[in-house]
Amino acid sequence: MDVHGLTPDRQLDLGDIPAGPDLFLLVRNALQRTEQGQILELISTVPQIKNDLQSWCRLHRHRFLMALDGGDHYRFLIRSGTAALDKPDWGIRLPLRKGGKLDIRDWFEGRVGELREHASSYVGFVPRGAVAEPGIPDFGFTLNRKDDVWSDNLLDLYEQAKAGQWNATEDIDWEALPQLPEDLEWAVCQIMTFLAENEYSALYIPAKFMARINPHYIEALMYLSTLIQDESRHIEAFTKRALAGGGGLQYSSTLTERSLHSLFIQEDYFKSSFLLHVLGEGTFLDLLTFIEQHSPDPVTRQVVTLAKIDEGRHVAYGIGHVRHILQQHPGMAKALVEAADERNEYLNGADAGDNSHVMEALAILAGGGRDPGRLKAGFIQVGKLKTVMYEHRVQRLLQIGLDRETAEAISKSHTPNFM
Amino acid sequence: MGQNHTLLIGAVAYDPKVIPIWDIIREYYRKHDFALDYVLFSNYEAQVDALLEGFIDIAWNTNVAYVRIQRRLEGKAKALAMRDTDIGFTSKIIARTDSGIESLADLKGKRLALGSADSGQAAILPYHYVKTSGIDPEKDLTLLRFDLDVGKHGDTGTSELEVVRALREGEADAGAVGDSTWIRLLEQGQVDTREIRAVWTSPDYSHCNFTALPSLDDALAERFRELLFAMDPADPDIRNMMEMEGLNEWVKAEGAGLDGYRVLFDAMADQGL
Repeated sequence: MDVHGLTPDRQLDLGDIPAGPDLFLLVRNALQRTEQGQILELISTVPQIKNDLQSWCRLHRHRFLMALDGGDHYRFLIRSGTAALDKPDWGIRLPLRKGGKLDIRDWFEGRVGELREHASSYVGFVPRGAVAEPGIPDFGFTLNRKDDVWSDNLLDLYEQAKAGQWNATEDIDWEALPQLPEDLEWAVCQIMTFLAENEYSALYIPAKFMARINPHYIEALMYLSTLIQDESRHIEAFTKRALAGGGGLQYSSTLTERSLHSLFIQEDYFKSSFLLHVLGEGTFLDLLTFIEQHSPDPVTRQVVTLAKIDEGRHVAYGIGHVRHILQQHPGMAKALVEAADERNEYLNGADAGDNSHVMEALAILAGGGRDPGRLKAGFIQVGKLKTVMYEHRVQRLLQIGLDRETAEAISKSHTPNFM
Repeated sequence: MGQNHTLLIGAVAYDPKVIPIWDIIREYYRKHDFALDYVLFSNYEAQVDALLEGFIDIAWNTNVAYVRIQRRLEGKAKALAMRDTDIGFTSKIIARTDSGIESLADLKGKRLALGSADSGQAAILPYHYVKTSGIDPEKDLTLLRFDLDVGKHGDTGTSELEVVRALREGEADAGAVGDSTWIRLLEQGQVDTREIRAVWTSPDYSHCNFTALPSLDDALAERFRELLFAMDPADPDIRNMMEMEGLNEWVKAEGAGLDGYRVLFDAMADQGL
């Protein structure tokens, strides 16, 4: 072959590496970075690799053009017969914020910044921005659209969540826990049991959906993982508070379990996000505020206050996510009414009674004791709590974009379990 | 589309993967309204007979099976298509580095390991090339034959692995293998080139093809080929099939592809096969 007119586009010095796995790996990678039709020049001091390279090229669709004797080395020219992989990014430097902070809100640059409305289902665990070889298997992700999981405040919430992590072992002033009158200690223990129980569902339900989310939307997974860490910390803190004062975990009602099960079996992420974050955790916020107000000791107050800050982020994600979807697809509001109805139908299907132990505990807490006068005053406070919960629910439903009539209908039918 | 005959293709079941390969191909044709089915044979001789008797319409043949059919039909069989990798196939003579063998001429007086007697790449053609280079394999060499999976024409590759094993363990000084087996062993690191090296590469020849009787309807054959060439490797199933079957694309059997069978006609005639 005439050597004139052949200009290598890329060069690879193989030194004295013999024909074998390492050599073919290097040649293969170099050819993947070489455009189809372009020429790769290999430099080697091992003459015997020539014939092996020729056969390798034939089997892998490349064209071995020629071998040149350079005296103390050989040059082999190969024309790439396959399409090169896309070019990855190179040379992108992210800006730092004040104090040298590298914020996730600033990483949407180059290929990493190409956030699609609809992600390919053949994405595997290829990080968004990386270049994938063809032939990735289908991992079976089902939440493949940005609308499915995204929320405009997602990145803000993620940064806040990381900064707001706390440690239930040492950030609570456990030494400040006083010896409470037994009635009050029981009420706190019963309430902590109920709170922990609800947080189990708030941990399991997002976790169930995480493996279905397309990794293209990794930021949603990052945020949800903070949410799950929050919930596990809450379970820890609520349980510790029940045990710390010498009481213990108390009663769980069938109604609570049925109510949480109805959330757990929801397989639609949009509906689940609405039921859990907007309705459930929204109402939970009001409950935490109530406990905070009537807390008989500083430790209970501190635990509840810290949990409330975390829950506020969860509700904000739910409202942001559901509102985002309703803005794009107003017709989806029907699905929310449907979700609330389905849940009520399930809960009304059996006579599960009332959350009687929790109600009693809340009345004791608010009234300040178990004697009839205090209980009576306490129940009046619990009644007011229900009114506040109703009103706030309506407000949150208006915030996500529902009309008042729908908002009131959903809020009225919300489960007496609060969550 | 007016096709009132299900095209029946024969293939030899040399490996369990043959079933998914042909299931994917059949499904692909059915998706394109082309009725196609396949039959698996345990050996190429039975498949050759089935084609000659008209039981199957097309046989997915090794080069050895193709030559047998052409001899029976006086060269009138049609080669419809082949894999891109079937063209320019070569055999390698590999040798222990401590044997002093650097070329075909150095084989004289040495022990040469050959694969299955019915394997074009590991026995018939290497024998032929050694012989035409001026060495009498029967007199000048000690031949070690590994006749494994006879009837599969070397498809299973087990006899080639035996050849490599014989070299590694010092039973033979040199051996013959197909280039695809040799490169795969090198890529997987199963051969250390400080111990065993390829010392000679044969001229190019052709490997498999789709063979049909001269009586196969031209329009049907043409439609079969059109769809074959239109397979899209971007389709995950097609890609999977192509990886299993070892091709990048299907090509017409013509020109250099067809010329690549000539040497085997000579070799088989000379060896009385």
